Amino acid sequence: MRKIWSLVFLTVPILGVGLFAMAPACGWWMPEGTSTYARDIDHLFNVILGITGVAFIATQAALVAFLWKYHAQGVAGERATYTHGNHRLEIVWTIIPAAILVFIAFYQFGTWKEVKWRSEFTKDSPPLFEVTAGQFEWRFTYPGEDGKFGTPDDVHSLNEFHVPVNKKVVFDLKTRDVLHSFFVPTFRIKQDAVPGITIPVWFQAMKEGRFELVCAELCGWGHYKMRGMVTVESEAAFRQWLTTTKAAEEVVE
Amino acid sequence: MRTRGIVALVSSAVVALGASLGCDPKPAVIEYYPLSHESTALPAERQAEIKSALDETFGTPIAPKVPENSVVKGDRLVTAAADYRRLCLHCHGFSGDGAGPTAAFLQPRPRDYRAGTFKFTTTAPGVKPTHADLLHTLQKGVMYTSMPSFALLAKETLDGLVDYVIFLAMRGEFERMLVAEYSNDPESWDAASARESNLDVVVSRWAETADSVVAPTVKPPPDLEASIARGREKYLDKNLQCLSCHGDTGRGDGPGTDVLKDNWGQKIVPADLTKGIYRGGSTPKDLWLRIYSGVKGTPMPAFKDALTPEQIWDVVNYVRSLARPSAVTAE
Repeated sequence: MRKIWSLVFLTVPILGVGLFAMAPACGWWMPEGTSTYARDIDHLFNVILGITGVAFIATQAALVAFLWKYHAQGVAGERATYTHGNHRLEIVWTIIPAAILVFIAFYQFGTWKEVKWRSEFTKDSPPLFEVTAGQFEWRFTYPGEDGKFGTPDDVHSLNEFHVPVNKKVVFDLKTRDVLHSFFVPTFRIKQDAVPGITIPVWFQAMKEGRFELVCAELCGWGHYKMRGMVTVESEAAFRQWLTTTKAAEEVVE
Repeated sequence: MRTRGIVALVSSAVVALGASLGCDPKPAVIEYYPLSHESTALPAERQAEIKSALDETFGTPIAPKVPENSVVKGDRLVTAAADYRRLCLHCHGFSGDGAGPTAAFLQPRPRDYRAGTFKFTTTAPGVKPTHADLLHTLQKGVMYTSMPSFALLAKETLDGLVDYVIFLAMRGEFERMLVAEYSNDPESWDAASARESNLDVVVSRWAETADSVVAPTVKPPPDLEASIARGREKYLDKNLQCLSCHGDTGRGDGPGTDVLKDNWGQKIVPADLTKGIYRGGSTPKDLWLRIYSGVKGTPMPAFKDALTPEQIWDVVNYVRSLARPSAVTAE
């Protein structure tokens, strides 16, 4: 085969980079981030994307270059060159990626701590609600006036939950059967729900509206349709929703 | 060397083409509803008569139709049928027989509509559910079973699905009645007259539901603790037999309850009232209705004649207290 065929392998990086470049214009990108830490998380995403993008282009370019340069001559009896390995090269290409990974580990630490360390966010913040994931639905419980879960004034909701805008919301995540994952793309929240564990999660929504909740951990045949909706609204509208939902539950005629 | 390159190129093109053709998102649609188990036990000529009676009356999966005077209007059935195949068929089956591909893995099993019986209704015992009852089941799901809530779909879609479920139920009942009438008296069976008489019965049963809607006639009593105490007495009353199924402590472990079956032939156990899982809906009204009209198709009987509406409220309050013991001593 003539060496021109090595250029076929260029289609992979070209397509990859090209699609990435056009994606946002076609709407194939992340939804708008509407929570307070969405910006930090998106920033980390972009940093890692940049690093891996550069590595991708560099390695693909090297691959095609080597295919071209060391292409077999097609001569009978031709033998490949035997190399013993290059000790210095191997050290370099281990140290540099390791350094990059260590850099990423330290760089993301502040955001991780802010979003995930429960000691940081549960202080003086009782949960606004608890959500129990189950095959294939989300069941929300708000504690009602008495602030305690498991009492008659609790408000229950199936697959729909409301939160007040511009207020820190802490909630407890549980599951009644298998692993699920609570994923609200616009808030940039994703937290696995683990059987036997109650996990506190927090966010603060900055924009009113209605956003999608989906399950992000394969949980069975209904995983693909395990959806919910979150409505972010003013404090007054939120209280009104709690009252209306409670009334609908206590129907006696 | 050159031929090998050409062969490689051509074969990869063929593979790519084949893969893209295989990615057709439209599933195959069966052209006719399959006959039920009972129908296929009949002689071939009778099967053909029953099949043509069904097809003429209820159409085919792509072009379903209903008799003009039925409670279901035919105009949205085609869209509803497509929605049903996409959303419901994998459990409830092509003809609503509750035996779709995933059904075998589920406990409790998906409803077999062909018996025309539905558990959770607002109608009197022995009466079909209303459109609103089936809509309620779609919107709330059946708690802690594999029937999810479909409330996030558009209301139009849900109404269409309810119509289609009623369509499948009528069709299933009609088929069963034809087969039963033949089996009773094979000699004098005539397809045409059997079709007319049985169709009238099926259609009128579904149309009559509005007159038989039930609701609590009184409000719950104001004193919760006293009501719970009265309800507990009724629960323990030997004549009412709540204990015999639901057990001394309400855990659904009454004696002999491990052999109970429902009308669809599936094993069924009495509800564990301490769990607070109410499949037909958890509002007080829902619980009142379950006690008043019973749970149709199951061994849970109707207590409308054995208890007054006030007494049913007392039992409802007691049942709710079993699920939340802290509620009893509150305030």
